[in-house]
Amino acid sequence: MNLRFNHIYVERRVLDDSYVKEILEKFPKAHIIEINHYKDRFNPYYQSFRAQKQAQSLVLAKKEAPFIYEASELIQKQDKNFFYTTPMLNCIYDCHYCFLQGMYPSSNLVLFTNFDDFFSEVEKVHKKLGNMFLSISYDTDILAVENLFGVAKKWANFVKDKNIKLELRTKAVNVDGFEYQENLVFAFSLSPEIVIEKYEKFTPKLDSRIKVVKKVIKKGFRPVIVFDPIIKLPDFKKIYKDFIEKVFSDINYKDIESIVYGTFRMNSTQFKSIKKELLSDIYYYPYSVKNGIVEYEDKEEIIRFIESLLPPIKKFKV
Amino acid sequence: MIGIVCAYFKEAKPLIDYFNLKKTNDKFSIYENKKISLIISNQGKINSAIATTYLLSKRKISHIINFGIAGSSEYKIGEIFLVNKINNKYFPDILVPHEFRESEIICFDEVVTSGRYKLVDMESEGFFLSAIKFLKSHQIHLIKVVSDNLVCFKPTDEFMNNLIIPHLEKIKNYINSLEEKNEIDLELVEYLAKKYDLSFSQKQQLKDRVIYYMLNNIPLPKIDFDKTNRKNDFRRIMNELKI
Repeated sequence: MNLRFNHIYVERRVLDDSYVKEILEKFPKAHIIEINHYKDRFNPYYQSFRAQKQAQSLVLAKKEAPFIYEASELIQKQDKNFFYTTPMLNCIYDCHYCFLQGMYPSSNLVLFTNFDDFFSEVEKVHKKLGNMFLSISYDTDILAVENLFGVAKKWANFVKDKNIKLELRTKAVNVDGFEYQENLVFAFSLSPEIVIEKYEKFTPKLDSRIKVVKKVIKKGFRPVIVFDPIIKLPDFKKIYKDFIEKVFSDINYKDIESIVYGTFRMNSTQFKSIKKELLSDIYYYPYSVKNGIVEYEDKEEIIRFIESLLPPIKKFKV
Repeated sequence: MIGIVCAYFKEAKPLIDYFNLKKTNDKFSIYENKKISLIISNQGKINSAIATTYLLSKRKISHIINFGIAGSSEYKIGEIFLVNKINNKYFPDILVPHEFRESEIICFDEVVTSGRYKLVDMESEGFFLSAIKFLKSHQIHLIKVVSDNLVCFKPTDEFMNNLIIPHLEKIKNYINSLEEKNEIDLELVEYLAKKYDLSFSQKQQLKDRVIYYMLNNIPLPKIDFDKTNRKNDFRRIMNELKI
C-alpha cells in the first residue's frame, strides 16, 4: 500500500492560498493537519528519516529569506554565477548516496508555496549580475513531482526571456509539459540498472530515462548527461563499460550538450550521520578521508577508466 | 516488545484480559506477556511521564502506545482515535495503515468541562515528552476512546468495558502492524574480535567489512588460523576479506 502523502501538514498562513487549495484537492483521502510553522513539524530531533521515507508526508509552507544560495564545491558547477534555490526540501526518491539522506532530521517533503517571493529575489540578483545559472533541483528532484505540483513549469515560465539558465537535474521522466526553451537545461542522471535497483529507490528504470533523454532531444533541447556518482561496485568496470556503451548506442552523443561525471564523495560528518540510520553497503566501503571529504582512495584510476569510455564531447569532472 | 501506558486500571483491564497479561513484581503496576508490557501510570502528565520513563528504562520496547479515554465536544462517546497532533506542537508519526480515525488532542493539567475541543486528556503530552527521550516519533502512538462530552464523571467498570471491548480487535491489528527492527547478525565479528583480541577500532573496521560482504551477498570466507599477535592477525583477517 502506498502511504505517501497520506498526511499533509499545512501552515495556517498558507491555508487560504489558491495554489494550496488546488494541491489539497488532489489528495481527497489525506489527513490534513494544520500547523503553525513548518519547522515545528520538520525540525524535531526525535524523527526517523528512514522510517518516514516509507510513508512520506507532505508539508505545505511559506519560505522565508534567504531564497537563493551560492552552490557548493561538491556539486557539478558548470557555470559562473551558479546559484541554487530550494522550492522544496527533500525528495520522493530515496537514493542512498544522496547528501539529502543526512541533511535534515525529517524526510518529509516540504513544498514552499510562495513562488512570488522566490521570483522577486532571483530578479534582484539577476539584475545585479546580468546573468545567472540557477538550479531548482539541488535539494530535490523537482521533476519527480511535476505532475502533482507543477513547480518546474512555473520556474520555466518565470525565466523565459531572461538571461537565466535554469537547470532541471533529474532522474524523472515527466517532461511532457515542456516545449523547447533556449535557457532550460535538462540534466539527466543516468546510472547502471544495478545501481538504480540497489541505491536509487523509487526512481525510473534506465530504459525509461534513456527514452526521456531522446524525447527532449526531439523537442530541440541539448540535454546534459550526468554520471554522478559513479559507484565502485564489485565488478564495476564491466558494469560501467556495458552501461556507458548502452547509453551511447541508444543516444547519439552529438545531440548531447555535455557529460558531467564524478565518483561518490561526501562530507565526512554527513557520511557518519547517514551511516547510523541507513543500512546500505555504500557506507561500509573502506574509503579514504581527505580534508573532511569521504572518497575512493583510487578515485583517479576510476575517473581515468570512465573517461576512456566517454565520447569526444564537452565534459565536466566533479 | 510493545509498551502500553494507561492512566487507570479500569482503562487497562479490558486489554489485560484480551491479551492475557500477567502482573509482574515491579514497583509500578505492570502487566505483561511475551510481546506486550502494560503499565498503569495514574492520572496526569507527570504521572504518565514517570511511568513511561520507567517502562522504557526497564524493558526493551520498540513501540509504545498511550491508551486511554478522552473527552470531546466534537465526537461521539465510544469513538476511537489515533492521535496525530498533541497541543499543536508534537506530532507522532503515523506510518502504517490503520483502521482508526485520526484526531488532534489537547492535553490539560485538570479536568476540562467546557470549550470546544476535538479530544482532551491529561496524559498525552507527558507521555510523549518522556517517550521521545527513548524512541523516535514513529514508535510513539496514542490511541484514545471518547468517554464523555466534557463532563466530570466517575466511570463504572461496565461502562469502560462497553467503551473499550468493541475496539480490541482493531487495537490488536494495529499492534501487529508495528514492526520490530531486524538487527543484522554480527556473530562472526564478535567471535573474531574475541578470538584475536581485536582493539575497538579494529573491531569496528571488521564490522564494516563484514556488513559490506553481507549486503553484497558475498560469501564470507572461513577465517580460522592460530593466534599470533593482534596487529598481524588483524591484517590477515582483513586480507581474507578483501574488496
